[in-house]
Amino acid sequence: MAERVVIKERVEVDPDRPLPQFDMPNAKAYAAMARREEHGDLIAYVCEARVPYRHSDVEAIRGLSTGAMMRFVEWGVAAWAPARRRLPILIYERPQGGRVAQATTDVLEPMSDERIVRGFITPAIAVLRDLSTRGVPHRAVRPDNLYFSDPAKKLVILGECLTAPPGLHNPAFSETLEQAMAEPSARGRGGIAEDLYSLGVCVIFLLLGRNPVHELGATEMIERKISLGSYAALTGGARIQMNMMELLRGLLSDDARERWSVREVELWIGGRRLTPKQAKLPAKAARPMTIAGRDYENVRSVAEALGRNWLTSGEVVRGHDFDNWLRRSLSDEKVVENVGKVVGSQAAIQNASEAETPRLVTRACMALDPGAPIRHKGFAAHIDGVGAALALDFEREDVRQKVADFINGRFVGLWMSLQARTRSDLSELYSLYDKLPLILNQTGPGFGMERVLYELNDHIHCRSPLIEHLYVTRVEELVPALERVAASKDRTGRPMDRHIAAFAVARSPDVDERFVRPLSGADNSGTDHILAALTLLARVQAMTKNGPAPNLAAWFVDLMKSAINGFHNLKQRKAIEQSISRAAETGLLIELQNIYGDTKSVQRDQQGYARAQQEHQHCGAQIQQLSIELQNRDHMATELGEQVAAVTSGVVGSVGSTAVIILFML
Amino acid sequence: MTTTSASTAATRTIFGLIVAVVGLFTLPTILILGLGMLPTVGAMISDRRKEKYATLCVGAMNFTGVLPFMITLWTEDHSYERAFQIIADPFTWLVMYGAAAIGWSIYFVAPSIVGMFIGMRTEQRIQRLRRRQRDLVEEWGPGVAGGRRDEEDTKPATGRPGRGQ
Repeated sequence: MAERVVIKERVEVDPDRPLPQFDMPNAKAYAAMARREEHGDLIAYVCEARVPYRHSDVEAIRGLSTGAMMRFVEWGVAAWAPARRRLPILIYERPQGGRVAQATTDVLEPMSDERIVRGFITPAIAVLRDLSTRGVPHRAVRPDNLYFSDPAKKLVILGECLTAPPGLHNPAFSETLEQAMAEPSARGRGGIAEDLYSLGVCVIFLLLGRNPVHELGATEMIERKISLGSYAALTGGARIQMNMMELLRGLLSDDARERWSVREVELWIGGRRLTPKQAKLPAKAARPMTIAGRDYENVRSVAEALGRNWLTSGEVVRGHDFDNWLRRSLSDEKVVENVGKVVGSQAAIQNASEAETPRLVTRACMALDPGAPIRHKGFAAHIDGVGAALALDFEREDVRQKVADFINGRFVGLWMSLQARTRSDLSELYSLYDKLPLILNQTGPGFGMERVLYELNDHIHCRSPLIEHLYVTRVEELVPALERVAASKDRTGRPMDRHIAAFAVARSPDVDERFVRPLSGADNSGTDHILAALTLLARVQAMTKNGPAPNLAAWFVDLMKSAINGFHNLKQRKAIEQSISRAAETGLLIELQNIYGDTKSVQRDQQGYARAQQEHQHCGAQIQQLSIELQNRDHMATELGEQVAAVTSGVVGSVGSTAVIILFML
Repeated sequence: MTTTSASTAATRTIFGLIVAVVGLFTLPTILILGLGMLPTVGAMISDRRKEKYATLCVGAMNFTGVLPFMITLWTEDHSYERAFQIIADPFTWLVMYGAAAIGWSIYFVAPSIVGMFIGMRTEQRIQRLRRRQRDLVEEWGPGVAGGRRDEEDTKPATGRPGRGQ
């Protein structure tokens, strides 16, 4: 029996009571109960570590007061015993009526239009308006994420939306064309317009009691939406009441500018009735364009087909027929202008090198359908969705390569120049994408794809194998997490890797590239690398002020042992060992770094050692010389002794003679 | 060149004549000096070294032994009679030849003493140097003496404490 997990002293989660009927695609549901407040039954979603939850939207969702969406209660990152790691856990109030549909393929009792309007559209619109004013889209509005809020099943509410990136689990039929064309993981944030579209899809589902197009694959769904328009494609010929038709045609408009807003839906609920809008389909070309053996009749489907068949699309874009089709068959001046702007003239296309072909295709797709995601080498992504795509599949080499190609292609500026309206939130992303190629193409720790991952995902946790299980999302948590690892018995390797370096430099304004460049040394097995790691973590510890880390310091002391043993002067070495021991006990890495990084003392030691070697050698030579002298002592003694004897005799004789003379004179 | 040689020869001749004339007037002295200095003559003959250290050694002491009797002769009665009286006295011989013997003793003993002294001094210097070497090894480790550690130290290592390779 696993121990209950407490979230911020408010909620207890019981790991032994799973609620599979509430599971989300990447978050398992468990029973939870409030400790103090009056809440109904609670439900805890334990998120998968691989999938980034919507951390930045948590606080906005917390403040929602409406009852037309699963009410968010609390969240926290906690140790989850069954997974033996820390995971984010989101707590909601449990809907009493259960799920409306377990899957989008389910068949239900159709609801009356009146019940749908009162029990679903009206409250849902209120939620979406509230979310819109907070700048947070729901982006998980889909038939299998609707719940009955009460046991009588009168009110249908929206499910949770925080456990996965926006739109990740929305099937292609419940997404707008622009979103459905992108990889599910790279759909980007979207907005209220996308939520309203999805709301329309849910209305069809509730109205018909089924999804008429559930058997269609994503590609086929997209093609049908393009050629027939969303309304026709999604209703699949089913009969819809006239009053609902007006709402659905308004919500499912494929032109975002013509799609109904919250205000228009509210007016409709209030009783205003208009003639249903007719679907505005893309203009058909005079003759179809053949791509990969299939004919496509309008510009949007051509763009989609070019992006999907990118390996063979190069020939199409380079061919004269493409230019002719654009100018003569399509007769859309705007598209021709766009192609001229981002792809260039026919002569420029012809002269482009073979290596440029994938980029030409990408640019052609952008020019033909500017609202669609950027499609490059089979990877279709909205620019604010690339981060989530990378986070979801970072372990996959092919995904990393696709994202790298996407970034190195520098398409964002061109794509933005083609947009009819500028989005202020994207200009920040533009400047980020502008510097990403520089970061990506540097190979050292602190750069490369790991850094891109953290630059594009503000709240993703550090993926270092060393601390991944501790779910570190803020740089303030980095040193304490490493301290926990250091305190464990199996302390192997080093407290630094590419992920930690990239995480630190991306998350902390106080850690700039000067701190990670020394990690790029050719020899990353030497003490230089360890010292660089120590310097980086000391900086993080100093700037985040999150207390001492004695175990981590001891880890560094172990790693740097060889460096201290390399200190020549034994007395000084002992003194340094003592000061290191004292510094390690304080747990302040900066203290250690000051000792290990003292280059002057090293220089002094080196110079002193060289002098000592010279002196030792000199002494040895002198001893050798003296030993030789000692061996030849007899010869020298004879030579010198005779001189000494002569002098002694001379002196004694002189003194004696003088004494004799003086004696006789007295 | 010829002029110089002739001049030198003339000087020697004049000097020899003066010595001969002086000798004629100091024959008693020469008698005592000649007999008394015989050990020196012997030393001069046996001394094969160019520097004639043995001759100097014996001669200096021998002369000191002869000098009192010469002064006695000069101060009392500078005559053959007195000279023979002095010579006839065995004490005279003891003093003159004893002094020469002391000269010989100095000559023979001095190298041993000097050798001993040199040995002591050299040993002391070696001891001092060895002590310094020991101090250096104690301070800097065995590597300073060119051992295994020394080989390690020749690897490039700059800028950080020890750079344990």
